[in-house]
Amino acid sequence: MIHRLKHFPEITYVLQPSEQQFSGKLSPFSEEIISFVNALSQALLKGSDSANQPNLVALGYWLRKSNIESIKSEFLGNSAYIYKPVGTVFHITPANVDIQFAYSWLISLLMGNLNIIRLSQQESEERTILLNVIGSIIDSQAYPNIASNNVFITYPHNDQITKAISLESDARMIWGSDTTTRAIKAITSKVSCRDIVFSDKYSICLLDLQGVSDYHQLANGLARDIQAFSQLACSSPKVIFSVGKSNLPEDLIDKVYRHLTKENYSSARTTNHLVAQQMCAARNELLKVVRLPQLTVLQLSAFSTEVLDWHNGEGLLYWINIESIEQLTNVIDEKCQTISHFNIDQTLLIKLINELPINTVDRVVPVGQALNFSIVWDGYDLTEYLSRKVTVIPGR
Amino acid sequence: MSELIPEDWFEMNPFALNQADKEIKMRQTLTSLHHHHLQHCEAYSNLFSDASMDSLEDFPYLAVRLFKYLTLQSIPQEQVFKILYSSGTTGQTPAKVILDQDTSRRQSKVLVKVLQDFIGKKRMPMLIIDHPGVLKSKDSYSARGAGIQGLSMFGRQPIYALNEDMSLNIEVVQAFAETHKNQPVLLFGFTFMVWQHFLQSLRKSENALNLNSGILLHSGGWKKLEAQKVSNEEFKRVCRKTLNIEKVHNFYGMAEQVGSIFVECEAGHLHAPIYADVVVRDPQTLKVIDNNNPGLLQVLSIVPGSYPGNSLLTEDLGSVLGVDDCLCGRKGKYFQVLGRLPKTEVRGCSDTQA
Ligand SMILES: [Zn+2]
Repeated sequence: MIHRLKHFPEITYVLQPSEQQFSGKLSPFSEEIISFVNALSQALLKGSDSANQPNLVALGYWLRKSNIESIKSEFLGNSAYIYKPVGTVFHITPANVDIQFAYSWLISLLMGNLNIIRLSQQESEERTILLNVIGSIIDSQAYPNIASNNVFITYPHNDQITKAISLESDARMIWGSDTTTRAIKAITSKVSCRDIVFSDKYSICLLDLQGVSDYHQLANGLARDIQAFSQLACSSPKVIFSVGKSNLPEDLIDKVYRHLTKENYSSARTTNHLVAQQMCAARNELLKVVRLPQLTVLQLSAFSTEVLDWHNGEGLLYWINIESIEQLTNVIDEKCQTISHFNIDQTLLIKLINELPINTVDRVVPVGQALNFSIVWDGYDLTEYLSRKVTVIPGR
Repeated sequence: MSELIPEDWFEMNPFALNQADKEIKMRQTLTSLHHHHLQHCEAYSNLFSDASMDSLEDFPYLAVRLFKYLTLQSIPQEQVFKILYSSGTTGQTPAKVILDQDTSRRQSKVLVKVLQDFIGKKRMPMLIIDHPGVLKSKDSYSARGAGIQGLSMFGRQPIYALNEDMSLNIEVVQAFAETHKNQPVLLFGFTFMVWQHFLQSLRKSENALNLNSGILLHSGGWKKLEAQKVSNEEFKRVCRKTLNIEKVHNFYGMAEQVGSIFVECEAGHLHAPIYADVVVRDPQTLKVIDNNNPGLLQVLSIVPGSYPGNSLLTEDLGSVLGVDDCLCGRKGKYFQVLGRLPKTEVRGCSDTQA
């Protein structure tokens, strides 16, 4: 496969690939993999460059030994099957969540797969740091199979290249907008290729402020959830539903704002927020505007998914008061991924999930954990999708 | 509605009023228009019913992108005369602008008044740097087609310089240059087309034309040329070399605000005529900023009556260079456009390129 990629001069290798062919000698959670992942975790948590990057620290923390061990034991459990990798996995990764590729790749790596990771052409500081860390561990030559089994590339739009790789791939992890995903799915792939698609989604936050006197924990969690990746990740909440209270709690908003650390927002941020504000006002849905340097909150009289069309991240929240949780069942559509919650009774949450349409909401997590990655993502158990179960029935 | 916008606007020289007098006059008309839109456009009244208007800078502005999402109109449906669509790149929603007959008429008047100040009153033989097919789709008014149609009335016997496939029709172009040798002629095209399909094609085929009494008008933005690192100076230099044309005027305007036409003068500055004005705002705070500092351009115009497009916050960057004192003698503000805000409209959690 690697040799075949050389036919395309448009491809740039983000990490210099090993000259060796794919070895195919890895199996799920094999020793070399576990040890590599552990080295990566240590390097991210202790490295002087990565330690200043909250998203990289979060990745390092997620890869910590105990977490990987628990994923491993849950996966291998006491299954009657023998697990094998699925084969070659082609990761088509997003631009605006710049280190998302690492989660996609590492889960697949843990399952022992061969990986071709297509990165976006847009570079970023944290992505460069991460790639340097990965590169230096691979260069240490302690992990020969990992060095030869993982290729990091980037190329401009080119259906021929995407097709050539797709024809050799046993699974494709497609992170993209609806348009992009449709275009990629239309490209011929290997007959047995499994497509794991992560399409456009949005996330919401559900709060009950009744009886809450201390906003510290909530504010800290909300700030965490909206700050990561400039609020552009699917899992970052864009809408807050507050149960029962009729006023906009400006003291809470002020606290959230204080927890946001300084970030370099784009020069289009103010105009983007103005468009959202004016659209809501023009539709007569805007009740109140709070505009702070890092955070804009638009209180709306009602929610419709259209307001998400003019949400471009960078610290913008729609705030909607609802009388009861049941109201959500009428407004959430199938593109809702995560509900982060605060001070909501667990039985009510379970009841809500059961009452929602069958095809919506993939995760329900406490405020502050919206961005925490999990091996179950968008409803897929990725360890299952990225491996094969081999049935072995003993005979005589 | 015509009484909202007094006809005497269109009798005056478009650059004779100094800024202070112009602002007083504009504010009166804009205030009447504001009340008109409050009454007749629900979205506008939802937005601005409590806006104050003590000065031009206070005048409430609509983000220009709203025209992509909303149909904004201040006239009954039966008065709709023409719908203008902006040329968005493929896949993007185009902006939609609703015109009645009065607004459309004022737009043409203003265009005549302003352009005549730069190219004179005489209609000249005209070379359009495009292909004739661009006008064919009659039902939907594309900005390119509308621009060409609007400009055509300044020329005689328009000839198209390009073939349908955007290649240069060199025979036609050479015949045009030969027939009108040493006579004033008018050339018009979109900036990028002129550069890419006219000037570059002529250069590649090592052809030069002698249009020494010609005037070239071009518009449409520098975005694509910026990517090729072509400045206005370079553009003009190539025009001199390839066409032997000295008079090259860029102009700035947008479909969302009909009648706002800002033409580059002999000194290289864009000028606001009496019907329109520009204000520069800080992209982060949206506060008005001082001259010579770059910021977001807000454009104001007294021309639109059928829709609330009198004050728009654009996504273009520019700076005011001076007031009432341009070397060319025109009064009012003069400014420059410095490009667009970087695009950051994103969809969903990911925008991989296929
Ligand atoms: Zn001038």
